[in-house]
Amino acid sequence: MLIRPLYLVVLVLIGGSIFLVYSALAPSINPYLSVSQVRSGAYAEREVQVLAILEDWAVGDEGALMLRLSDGNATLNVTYRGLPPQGLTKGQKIVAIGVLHPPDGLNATRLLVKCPSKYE
Amino acid sequence: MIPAPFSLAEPFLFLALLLLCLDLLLLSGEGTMTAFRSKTASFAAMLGCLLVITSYLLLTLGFVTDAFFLREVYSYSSSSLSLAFKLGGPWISGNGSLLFIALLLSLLYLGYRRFGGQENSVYQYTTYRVLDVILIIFTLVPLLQSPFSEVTPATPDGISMSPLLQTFWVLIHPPVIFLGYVLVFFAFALMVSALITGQQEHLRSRWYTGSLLAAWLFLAMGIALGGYWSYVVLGWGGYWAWDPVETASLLPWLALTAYFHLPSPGNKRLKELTLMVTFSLVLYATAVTRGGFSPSLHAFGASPVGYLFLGIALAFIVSFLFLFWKRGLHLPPLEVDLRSVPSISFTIAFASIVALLAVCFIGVTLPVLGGIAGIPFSVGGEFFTAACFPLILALAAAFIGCGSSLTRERFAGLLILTLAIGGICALLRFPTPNTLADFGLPLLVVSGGIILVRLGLTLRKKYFSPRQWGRTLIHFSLILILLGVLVSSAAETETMSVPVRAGSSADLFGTSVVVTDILVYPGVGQVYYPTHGFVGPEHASLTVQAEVENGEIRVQRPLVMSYYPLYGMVSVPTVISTLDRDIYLSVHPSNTSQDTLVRALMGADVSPGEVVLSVKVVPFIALIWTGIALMGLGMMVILVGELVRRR
Repeated sequence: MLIRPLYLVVLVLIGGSIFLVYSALAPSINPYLSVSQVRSGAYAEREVQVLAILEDWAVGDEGALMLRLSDGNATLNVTYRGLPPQGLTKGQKIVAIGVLHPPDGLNATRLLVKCPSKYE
Repeated sequence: MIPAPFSLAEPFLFLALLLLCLDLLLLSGEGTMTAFRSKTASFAAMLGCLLVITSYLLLTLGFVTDAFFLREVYSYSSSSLSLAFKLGGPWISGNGSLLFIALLLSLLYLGYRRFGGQENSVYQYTTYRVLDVILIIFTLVPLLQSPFSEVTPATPDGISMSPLLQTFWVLIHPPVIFLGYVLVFFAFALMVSALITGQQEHLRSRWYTGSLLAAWLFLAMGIALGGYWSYVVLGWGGYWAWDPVETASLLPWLALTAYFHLPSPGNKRLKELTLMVTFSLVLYATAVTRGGFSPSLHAFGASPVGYLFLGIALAFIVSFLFLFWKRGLHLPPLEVDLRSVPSISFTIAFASIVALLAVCFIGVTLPVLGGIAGIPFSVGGEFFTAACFPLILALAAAFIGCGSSLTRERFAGLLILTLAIGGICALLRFPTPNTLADFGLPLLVVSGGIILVRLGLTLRKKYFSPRQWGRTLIHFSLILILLGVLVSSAAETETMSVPVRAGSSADLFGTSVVVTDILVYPGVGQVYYPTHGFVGPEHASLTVQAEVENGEIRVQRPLVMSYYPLYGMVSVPTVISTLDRDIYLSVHPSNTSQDTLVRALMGADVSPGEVVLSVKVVPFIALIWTGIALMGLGMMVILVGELVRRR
């Protein structure tokens, strides 16, 4: 049997995937916040994604990484207990993802540092 | 003032641009083509290509001879950089890589012009014109973002390449993926030419089929090499992060995969449209990578080149659709036989690939739009996982039906039974702690098993069909990769960082590490420090001599960590691979180790003190790499088979 408008079947499948995409997408959109936005108080006890300049870092107690992030106007202390990314250097842009606990700072679960490749 | 011969590079590129434009102009009136005009056009094109190649060689010469007055050489090289990285410098660097694409395109164009045959046909002239347009674009861009700009005042040395780039993988990953891009351009030119001239028979040539299959192979291997590089060097055992740049590179490959899975293989219009999408997605991936529209792990800052490539992609799409409309072409219906399980499976496979492409495109494009609108955000990896998971299962189900002699009822029964087993596994959280993985594993195992049986049957046949062999291998390899992804990500274990000293030992979740010695090496290499204006050592290193024991594995491995003042602390992980697991061992930065290395760099005689180690055990990751190798093999079998068949 030949189905002339098979595009309809494909459209139904694409429609289904659009629904899946929508339901998966809604909770996955994470805005990049600045340190000043995070320090405004609106994000207390919420998971946030902060894009900022790394001012300083050190390895603290029990191997935890202590970082100070800045956007030029405000600073934010970040504690990270995972494997530190490669080539962490002061002055570079990094992304810290985690839960904000004012006034202590951000308890990061992920740190993202840009890959050094620029070639593609 | 840039000295000769480097000062000639930009004029050469400009002259190449003019010559390619001349070729385009001379070929435009193919109806009134004379022998003299044809020869002049050919000479102009060949000279243009040779000038592009010469410009590229001049940039390479700049790297090899330490011409630090060139910004590209200054930014990516130093006098102590090894020759291999200097030779690779042009494609590793930002603007040089655009020139590298122009080089590959020029070489391919020269080869086609010389060996493409039927020199005086209308089809050939049209193909040359399309190739001229593409090569003009890729010659113009390096002129706008020139790798030959000058550093003033001149410095005695360069700031060198990031240590994370100084690996074997940077020498092969970019060329492989760029070659994939260039082959897509080439196949696109052949297809557009056939569309313009109406000479569809040329789409059965070795050049067309070969370039498409080779592009598919190179794109797949390029992505895989990037993933492996990330796994062993950059990403602490992570091979894929759903970063916009990574995902963008997946788009053309998925589109090309859809091309090879069209339910109606004879449907020329749909093939043309799919190749147009692939071509546009290559330009789109380049725009996303270089445009810096949204924060990405890869893209660095905004560049007008991103907008330029977006504009070019849009221009090509509009021109192509106009051509389609002008020739009165329309898409004929797809065909599916609802009584045939292979036909249904083929359609499901095609729809799944298209849907995967749509998911990835949406996930990449939304942050791009957000970035352009000034509202930066990211789309988390959870989105891709949740949206791709059912599509991957649909694809695995399609593999079962593809080439099978099952009835519809038996096929449906087998799927229901497999999914029911998956449901029970998910409820029991067996065999991994991840519910999604447990649900999907039975379907993947059944699919893989059936493909293996099919492969065995293919082996027994007297007639060797490269296409069938290759296809079965690729399907099996994809199942292996998916199994590896599900199991390794669901069951990996990772230790916290543990401090150790020379002579001490640590038990890291079943992995015993005995540190026999820690050696500190003073500053080595030579780079220019722009902030302080002097030339000094590039880095200092420490090596931890470790005996590692995990189950039956017992090995001695050195673990290296270095301090680069310009790039921070960099550790080279050690991966101990076995069939069922990888032990991923690394030294991590600590205040003590950084102090040690800073003082060593200054020339002080220091004792190492304590260092921090961590261990990650990743089960069955070998499935992924084996799957990738088999996929490459399967693609090569099809490619060689087609080239031989169409000889």
